[in-house]
Amino acid sequence: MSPDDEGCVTSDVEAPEGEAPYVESDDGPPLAPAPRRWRDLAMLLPAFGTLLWMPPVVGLTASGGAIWGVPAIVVYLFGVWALLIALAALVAVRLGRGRG
Amino acid sequence: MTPAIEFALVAALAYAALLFALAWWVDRRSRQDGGLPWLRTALVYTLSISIYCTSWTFYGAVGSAARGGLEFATIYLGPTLMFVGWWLLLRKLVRIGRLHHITSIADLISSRFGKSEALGALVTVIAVAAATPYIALQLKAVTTSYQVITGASLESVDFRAGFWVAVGMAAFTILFGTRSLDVNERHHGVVAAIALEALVKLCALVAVGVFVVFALFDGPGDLFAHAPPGFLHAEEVFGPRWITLIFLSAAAVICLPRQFQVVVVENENERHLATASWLFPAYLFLMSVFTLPIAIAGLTLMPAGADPDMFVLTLPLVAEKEALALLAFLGGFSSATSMIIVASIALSTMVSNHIVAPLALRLSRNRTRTSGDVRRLLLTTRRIAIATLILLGFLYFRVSAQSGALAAIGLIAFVGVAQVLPSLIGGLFWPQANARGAVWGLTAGFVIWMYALGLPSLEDGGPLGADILAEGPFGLAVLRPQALFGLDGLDPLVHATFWSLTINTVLFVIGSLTREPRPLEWVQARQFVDVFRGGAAIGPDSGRPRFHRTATSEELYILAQRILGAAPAHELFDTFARRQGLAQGLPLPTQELVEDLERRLAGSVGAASARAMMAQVAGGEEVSIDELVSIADETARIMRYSQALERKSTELETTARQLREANEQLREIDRQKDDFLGQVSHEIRTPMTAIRSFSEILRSSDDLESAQARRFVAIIHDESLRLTRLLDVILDMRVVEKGEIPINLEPLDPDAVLDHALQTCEGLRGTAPVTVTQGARAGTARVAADPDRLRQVFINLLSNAVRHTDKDAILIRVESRIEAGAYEAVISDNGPGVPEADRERVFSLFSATWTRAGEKGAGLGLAISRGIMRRMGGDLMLDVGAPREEGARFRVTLALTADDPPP
Amino acid sequence: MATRLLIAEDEPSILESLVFILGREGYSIATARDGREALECLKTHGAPGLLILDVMLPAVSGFEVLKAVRTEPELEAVPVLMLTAKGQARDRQMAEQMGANAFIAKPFSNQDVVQAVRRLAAP
Repeated sequence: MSPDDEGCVTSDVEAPEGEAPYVESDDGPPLAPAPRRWRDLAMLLPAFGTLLWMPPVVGLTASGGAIWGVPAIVVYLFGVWALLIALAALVAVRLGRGRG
Repeated sequence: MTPAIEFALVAALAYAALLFALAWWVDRRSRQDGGLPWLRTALVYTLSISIYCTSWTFYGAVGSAARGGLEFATIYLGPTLMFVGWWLLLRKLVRIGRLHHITSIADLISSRFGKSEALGALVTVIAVAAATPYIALQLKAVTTSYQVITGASLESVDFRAGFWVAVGMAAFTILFGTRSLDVNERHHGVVAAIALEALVKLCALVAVGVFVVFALFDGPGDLFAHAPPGFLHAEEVFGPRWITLIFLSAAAVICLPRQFQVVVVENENERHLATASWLFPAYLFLMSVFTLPIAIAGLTLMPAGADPDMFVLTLPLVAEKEALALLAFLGGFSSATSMIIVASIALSTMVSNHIVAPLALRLSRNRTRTSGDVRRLLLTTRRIAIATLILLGFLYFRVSAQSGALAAIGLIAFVGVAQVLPSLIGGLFWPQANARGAVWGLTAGFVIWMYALGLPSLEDGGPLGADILAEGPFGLAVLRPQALFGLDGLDPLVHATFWSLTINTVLFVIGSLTREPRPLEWVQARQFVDVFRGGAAIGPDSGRPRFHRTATSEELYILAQRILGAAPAHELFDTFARRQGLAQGLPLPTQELVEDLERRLAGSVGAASARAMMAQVAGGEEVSIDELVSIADETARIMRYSQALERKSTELETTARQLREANEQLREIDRQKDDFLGQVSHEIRTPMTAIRSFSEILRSSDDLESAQARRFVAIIHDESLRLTRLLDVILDMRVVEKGEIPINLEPLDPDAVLDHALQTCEGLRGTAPVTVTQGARAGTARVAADPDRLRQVFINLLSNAVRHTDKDAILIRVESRIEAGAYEAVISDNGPGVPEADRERVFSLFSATWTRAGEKGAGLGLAISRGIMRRMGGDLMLDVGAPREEGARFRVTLALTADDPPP
Repeated sequence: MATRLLIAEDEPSILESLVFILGREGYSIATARDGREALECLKTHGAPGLLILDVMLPAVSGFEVLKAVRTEPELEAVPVLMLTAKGQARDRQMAEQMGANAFIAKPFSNQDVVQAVRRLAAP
């Protein structure tokens, strides 16, 4: 036995099967894993929307004035809505990129 | 009578005819080569999801806005949140749905919880109970809108319109919605019609909205300036009901059977979901952006008492824009019909797969089985179910039309289908969740929903009666349906939602925790929960544990024929055979084939029935303990992995150090062994040399004097004896090593033995004169010992003292005493002593110090001596306290015996 | 005058046999019972015709004696025959490196010893 035999130590740690967001598909080539920050944004988006649309945040503009004659609360509700749609579109494009 | 009146019927019929024609044409085209690519786009997928917007929202949203201001928006905000958060839940649902050929939400729940037939049936019952009034609501909307546009009085309900719509939709759905048994094969005709209707209702609503804002009013500013005071209800709307409605609508957009059908079952490509994640919210945005303006316009321009639910239609009529009114009518018509079509397809699938199929399987167990019999049975069942469901909806409408109870039905249905949510979420993310929890939760949720919301919504509480509603059953106020457990003063919807879902979830968790998942539940749980970690990797190389089922190819083929029909089954088995590399004939009945076939069949009859039918030919799934162990859940494995990574560096370091130490010890032992063998070799070779040499002299010399010859023979004899002694010693060592040295204890005076040993050693020859000093002696001690062994020990210590001393004069001091009930002898010398590092080593068997190079006789090693002393209940120690310069000091101890010394 | 041998051997019986067989060959023999004695003898009586050295000698080992002999100008040329009872290749190697002229493992055959001695020093 020589000191070099330490090299024979084997590790039983398996490599993890990493999450592959888009692998199983009959009709498209496999996707490269989505960039981490876009996946994080995708997960945060509903929480973000919930926060903005739930009391107490949503009530902040309830008694506010109007913008071009439209009550602030209406502008706020639909503005958040439009923002969410835009962000979701961005996320969808990023996460769906390279597919097909 | 305006022109629109006559035109309305014609337009509706023409529109219906257009839908039929489109569906028929698309159906035909899509079966030809290439089909219609535009049908398989994300846009069409998104448009089909828009059946979420039924006539209840098309007309009702404005009504809701007119009555409750901003509250109407909740119905759209929930789905928006659900879709922009597609990455969390919908993506997983869609992936699972595609991999497991899920046919309905009932099938999903059933499949997840061990392909349970009971769960499939339970979810089906809840869905039907929730959806039938919902269909009635659509029929009512169509009927009312027809009456409005034809200018008929709303005092009485003209059921004819509703009836013919029901008949027409049933015909359409049966014609185009039940062509294939496999639910995953999309009904292209239906999809095309739904997509068209989605566009029509959006265009209609946007057109009315634009007309209202810019024609009836001078832009949004002008419009909102005309809004009645407090119209928005902005001060009080953001309460529990706001939160509850957003939550319910978010749940409904996946739990409603028709939504599950279009979002999950009919999804062909996950990319479409990514697109729908923003496109569907955008559709909802457009559908609702004009709701407030139309409501304000209605409230401002229409006479008091006008039905706000019909503002979408009545505003263009009042403004005498017949074409716009007609478009609005067709938009409402589209909303209603598309909902009826998809809902009846989804529900009929559930009824046929989860209620009729299990019953039929039980009843037909002993019947002959023919090709396609199951297929025919289920298709027929679905057709009958579609007709029955729509008819039921009509009857419900007929019975309750006058009561006005229908208005609340939309939200009541939402609460009903939301009961599936705990099982759905739990099933997707919690591996421990099992069928018991799902059954408990769903049953409790269903019962509370009916009791606290469904029945009270009927006139006078329906079968409950007004008394129970007001005072609780048997006068128990705690059980009042709308104030359960004393929770009074809440909005009935919020109240029912809270109690049904809370108790549902609690029982789901308790049920899941009180029973271990069964093997099949485990397997399904892992495939569902870990779908993105390869848990559902399906295929020969997935490494997934397999159930061991055996069936012949013929049996499997017959089974496939029964469900799929002869030609598709033939085609499927051909594909299987080709995949196995066979040129012709049936494929081999491998586990892969059995599993693959079961999944295919599940796409037609649902997982539970497919499993039951497969079990009839191939036997049930058996899971061995080994396989269960190997399905050790993925999460645990990942956790183990990361922990292992953390530990890895320190562990490796420790291991390396331990290995180095072990190596060092091994090398040391190896060296000691070499030394020892060298010593033994030397000790044996020395007498051998003399024996050989003298025997050669004797053999080769004839001229020896007899005296000389006798002397030589005597030497040979002596050396032979020495050799024998040596071998005895080596054997002794083996014996001591194994603890087998014979010891004969007898009472004796140890000092006497010590004296005897001293006498024996007088002849010891050192390199210098030896002086033995006698110190104090114990006198009369009494111990139990083996005299010969004890003497050996003393001699060994004395000879060691002589051998190891390098001084010019060897001084050995011997003393003994009685100390703490033990006899103690100390033999010390003036030699070099024992180095600190060697203090323990001198007692080891292989120690090179057991005998000194060149010394005569092997003697007993210190190891043997210590072994002997310990066997006699004593010990041999090297005195630690002694300074090294004073030489080695060995201490022999023996316990005193009780009996007195003999006289 | 007969060639003088010095035999350093601590084992009396082996020494006796060596003295007998080599004396029979006509050598004049001096003996030493350990390394120290051998060195003294070399010092007082000068270089012998051949030195026979046991490896494992008490007090001063055979190798140490050999080293002393090889570093002493007067004794440098003395042929040395080494005997060992350990019989390990290591000892043989070491003996050769240190300048021993012959090496014989115990138990030896008398014939081998006599031949080796004759080769190194004529009687």
